[in-house]
Amino acid sequence: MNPEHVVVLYLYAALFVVFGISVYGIVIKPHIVKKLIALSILGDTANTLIILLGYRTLPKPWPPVFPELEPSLELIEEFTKLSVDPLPQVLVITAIVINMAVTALLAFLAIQVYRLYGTLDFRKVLKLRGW
Amino acid sequence: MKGVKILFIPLMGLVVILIMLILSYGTLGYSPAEYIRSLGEFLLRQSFNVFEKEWWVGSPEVITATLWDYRGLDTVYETTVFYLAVIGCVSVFRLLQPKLAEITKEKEEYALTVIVRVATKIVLAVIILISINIALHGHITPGGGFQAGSAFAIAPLLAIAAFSRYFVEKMGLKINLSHALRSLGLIIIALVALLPLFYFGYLLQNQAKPWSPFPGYPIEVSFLELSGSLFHFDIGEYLNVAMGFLAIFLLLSLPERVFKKDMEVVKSES
Repeated sequence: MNPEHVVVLYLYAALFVVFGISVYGIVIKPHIVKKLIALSILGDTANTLIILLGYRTLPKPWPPVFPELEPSLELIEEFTKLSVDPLPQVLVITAIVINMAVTALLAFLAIQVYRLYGTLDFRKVLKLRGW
Repeated sequence: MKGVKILFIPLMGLVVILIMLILSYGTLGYSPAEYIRSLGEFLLRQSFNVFEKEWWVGSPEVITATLWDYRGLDTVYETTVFYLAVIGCVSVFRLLQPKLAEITKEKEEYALTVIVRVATKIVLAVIILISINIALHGHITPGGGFQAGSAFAIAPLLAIAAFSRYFVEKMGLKINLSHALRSLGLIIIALVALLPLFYFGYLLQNQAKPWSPFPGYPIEVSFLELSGSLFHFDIGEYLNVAMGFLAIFLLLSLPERVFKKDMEVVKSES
């Protein structure tokens, strides 16, 4: 096993631990803001995982941006051989901004819940609703 | 409640392990590896291939090229999702008397120290300039509309924390302006996407193709690198994201007593 592969395995393990913690936070924690924090951690874990999938286990991979504005044929070939996969990064760029917008929307809803019921504990909210 | 919790934790563990297994089975074997998938290789080879222009985009930034050309329709819809999310925020926080929002025009009695205020003003100018730089350079260097908009979003947040909501409005960044510019950004994106249809090209076409009569957007105008439609898309996206976050932060910073007054009026009317 190459040292790069070992690092990748550790990264996978760390990401799955964080994933488990965030799922725990979403399901078990009764406070709505804590659920929101766990949800944003879950989104970031997913994004990191997607970027990790597009990495290349080369000693020195390139970022997917051409270093020159007038490339030669050799440079294009070298770029194709050395650069990391651009597709996961494209997916993540949009996912981050959409994630931020959705988090903001949920924060607004949480504020509205507090305004109407005076609490952010969803068990108390359910009791106040009479469930 | 206790019993439910005891049931939930093993169930959750099971779900996490299952997802882990699926991900590991599909990905851990060959990814990340020394070689990338053929689709990624295609994007890397074709997006700035000046020798073989059938599939090229004309932008050295492969990510922006993929974002707005190869996967353009997807990005347009995601922009719409963002636009609608901000509309959702506005509709949750709407005031029945919009005049109440002007209560915040009060004197700043408790200002922070001179050091904080001067430093914040300098940093604010730098943030806004850098965000514009990221937006206009997005097709040549790492960056683009999404990133620039997120960078700009820090500016109103910092100004609200260091000064007040009134300071941001005095800078000219009012909520109505933000809605107008946000819609303008979406209109720019829609127009740039629809223009090739009038030349009998196809939707979201960027460069000239052998099978389409549309001549393609210009790659460079005199000394300016434009990379076809990517430059215009980035400007539209920057306006949309930056002004969307400005609207969100302006709404979030409305003081609670404004809403209480608003609710009182509703109660007395009913």
